[in-house]
Amino acid sequence: MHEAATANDRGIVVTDSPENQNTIENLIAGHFDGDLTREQEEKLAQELTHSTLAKQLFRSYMRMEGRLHSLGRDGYFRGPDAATQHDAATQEDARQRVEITPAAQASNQHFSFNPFQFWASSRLWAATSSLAACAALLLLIGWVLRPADVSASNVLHRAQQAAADLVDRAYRVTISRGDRQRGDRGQQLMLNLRGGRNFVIQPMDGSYTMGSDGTDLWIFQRDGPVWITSDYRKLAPEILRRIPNRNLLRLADSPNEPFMLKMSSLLSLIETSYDIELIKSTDPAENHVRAILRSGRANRPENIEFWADANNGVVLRAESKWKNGKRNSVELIDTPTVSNQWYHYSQHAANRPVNRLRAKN
Amino acid sequence: MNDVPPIQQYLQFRSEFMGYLYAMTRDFELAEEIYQNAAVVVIEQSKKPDTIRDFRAWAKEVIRRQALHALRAKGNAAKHTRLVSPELLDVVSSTFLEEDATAGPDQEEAGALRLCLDELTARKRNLIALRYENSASFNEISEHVGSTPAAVQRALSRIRKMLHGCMKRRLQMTEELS
Repeated sequence: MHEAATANDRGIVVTDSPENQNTIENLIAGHFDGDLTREQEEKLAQELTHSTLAKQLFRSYMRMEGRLHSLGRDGYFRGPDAATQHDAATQEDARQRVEITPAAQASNQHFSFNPFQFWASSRLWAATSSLAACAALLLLIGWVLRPADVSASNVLHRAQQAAADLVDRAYRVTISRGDRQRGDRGQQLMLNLRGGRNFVIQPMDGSYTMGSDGTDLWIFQRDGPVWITSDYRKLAPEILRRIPNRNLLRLADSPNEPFMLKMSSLLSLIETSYDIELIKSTDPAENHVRAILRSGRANRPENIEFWADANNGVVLRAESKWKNGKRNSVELIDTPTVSNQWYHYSQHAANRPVNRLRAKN
Repeated sequence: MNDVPPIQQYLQFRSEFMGYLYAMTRDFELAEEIYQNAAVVVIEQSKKPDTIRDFRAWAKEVIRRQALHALRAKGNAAKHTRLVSPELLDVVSSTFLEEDATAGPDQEEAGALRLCLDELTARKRNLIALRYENSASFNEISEHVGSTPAAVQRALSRIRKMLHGCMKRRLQMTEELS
């Protein structure tokens, strides 16, 4: 019966045995859902070994699964309404940041955290800046009245203020996959930051450079053109379709990933989704805070620790650990003074073709 | 010799590779991590592109090795987690590797899937979005939509089967018309 099944070159199965096809499809669906018994797994393995029909069906489902995953990552399922809801939710998050209580309740309305969305809207940025200024004032008053108080939330808020300062800071970022069997040495990148809006990041091998001058997000590979957008949130699906090295934007965009590009994003994530505690520091010049993920969301670090300068609140280093063993660390290595133009792509990619991706209205 | 940089070629096969990785791991996060680890191998290989004759076949083998390595590590790290049987993993990998190495990404199939997705009701589309866009677990989705994890799993399974059937019908129609 197996050999009677055939398929054309598009993987469309032509078979005279619908019952067999249905059985196989159920097994395949069960496999992707992860609820096959050992016996059913054995049956599926036999079918895949002997049946052309099963192989074609499995490949077809596999491709569909991959496409659904890719479409999801490209934001295909998100309609305009969803984007509006997300804006509202993000602004609500920003409002909650004024409250001194640490780790404000995270919104249940969205599962993903997008660092770029935070600054992509200038309106939101202006609102957030005002709120941050109010928070700074409150902290200042609190500091004058009760100078001896040091709490985890206090340290976090001072770190957020320091991260928002328009001071240039250079961090070394180390990404480790937690793969000790392979002798994982980690990947290192250099990250230059100014406030929450300007950054330049480059891996040590120089294979790509990505940055933002506060207005545009730009990225280029070693020998490629420069890709620019002024509104990442609106352009995400378009960029993902057109940009050659789109996975790099994923690295920047995804909370799964690697490096939380900006210190302000990391601290905001801690504020919204983590329980925090002050750890007794071995160095009196540093304040040490440990943050534990409140929900069991797999795509976020389960544990983040950071050490901030006790005098000025600047984060000196931070370590994020995922439950699968993956780790990121960022370490302040310098406070260089660079020109305003340094965060512009032209300072890093002179004489290259520039592809600007425009936002849809 | 293909002039397209290896990393760009790699990205063109993203859906196919992610489909295989999900079939092997059934874990979005792990699949993505393996995909990115393999991307690092591809980027490193860019320094000596002459050694790759058939990029797709080579990349598939890279993906397969990375997947098996990651699954071994996962198995060692979490003994209590029941992984897919080694026999099934082997045959899934063989199925993945055997596919016609000259075939490129099938735009027609992708287009058909998009059309079928557009036909879904808002509720079904929402479930798909939660699962594939937010990588939410069945538990998380059930909390979001006010259902049980088992009901969510069954619903998603039905939607997937429906999408696959719809996609096949559309492709058959296209074939008959052409």
